[in-house]
Amino acid sequence: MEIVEFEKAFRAATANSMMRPALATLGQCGQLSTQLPPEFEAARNSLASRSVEPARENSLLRAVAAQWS
Amino acid sequence: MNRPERTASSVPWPHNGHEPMEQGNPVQVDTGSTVAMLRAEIRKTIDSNCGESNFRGAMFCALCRPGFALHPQAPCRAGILTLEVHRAISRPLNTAAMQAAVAVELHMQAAYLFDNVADRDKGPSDDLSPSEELAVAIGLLSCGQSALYEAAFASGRHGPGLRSLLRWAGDCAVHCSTGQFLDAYLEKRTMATTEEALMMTSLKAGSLGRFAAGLGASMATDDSDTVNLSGEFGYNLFTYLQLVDDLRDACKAHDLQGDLMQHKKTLPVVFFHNSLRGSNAEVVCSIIPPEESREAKADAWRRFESSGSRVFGAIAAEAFLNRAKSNLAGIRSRVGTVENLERIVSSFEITPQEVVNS
Repeated sequence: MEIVEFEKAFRAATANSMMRPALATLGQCGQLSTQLPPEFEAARNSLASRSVEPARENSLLRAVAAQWS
Repeated sequence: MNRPERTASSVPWPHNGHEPMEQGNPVQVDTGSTVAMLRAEIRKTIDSNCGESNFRGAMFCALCRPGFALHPQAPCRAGILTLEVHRAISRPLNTAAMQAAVAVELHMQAAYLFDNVADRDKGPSDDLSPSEELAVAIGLLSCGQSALYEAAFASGRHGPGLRSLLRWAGDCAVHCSTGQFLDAYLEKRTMATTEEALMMTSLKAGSLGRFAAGLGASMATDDSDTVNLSGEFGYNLFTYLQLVDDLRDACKAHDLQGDLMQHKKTLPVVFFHNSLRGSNAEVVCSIIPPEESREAKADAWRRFESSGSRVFGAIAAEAFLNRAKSNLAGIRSRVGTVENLERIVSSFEITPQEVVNS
């Protein structure tokens, strides 16, 4: 499990104060993963073994929005 | 796992008055009656293995607590997973599958009792001292071991096949114990890494899932690839479940209690504490005593909720769910329909948003 790499990428992505509003906006709009900021996409992909279903992707994004909006 | 020679002498199950399930039945999961039958077999196993009435009574009392196997609302997830993996592969349940489920479930109950002792804040239940509680846990493990031997016998294993099965089961049990030990060891430390937290979670919960699903499969087939794939499915599914539980238990808004206040080394809490390194970490980097003011707890809770720790934990959990689904697709390609297992996964599935907002 590449949790250490994921943690680094996640922290880098979320430490970017410019990115938080972007994540929140994406989450509220329920955009798909292709429109995620690349750092966040890389973070998630470093851990997941296959792509997340679109419905769950949206749910994840809304969860992100709930934290940072 | 190597599964050489094996005779298919599965005894029709159940053998205690219930109607056996017919071969070729559609995979209709009647979880209620299956759980009831599993509970009945657990009682029988303890009755037949423990002649001392006080100790037997203590075991039954412990198992009737909320969340434990004989409580009317207990889901008996581990044992049910064993039965359903077996049913997905070979359809009719038999004595071997049921004894395997009893073995798995009793191992899980013993682990719960250990957790009770480890979580000293909860205090002993049923007027049992921590030592008595551990003795009951050892008793349940021993009964589980006896059920495992029954399962191996009923499945017709002998020679190298028997040795291989028992060795594999022993490995699973040792991995679970390693997770319990790591949990207790990390409790003594001020800090931990997310890698250590995830390793502890995977060993504790994932190994039990591997034991549950792998044993169910090995009672149904000699094909080692299917058995290994089923084991991986259980490992990933139970790790996912534990990570979701850890998110729920991190900190509850209504009473501000939870793992955060006790500085447990679960993944989201470790991620959060490590985020505070170099800042004013002393505020929350120690166990917050119960008598601490509500304001201090509320401050820790707010910091946690705005830290992204829940999202981090939810994504990690999601990765394990994806892996379990991928394993399930592999099992489907080998055995055909796995509707019952898909239903089980769906019943466990929680959207990240629910978890993060819980």
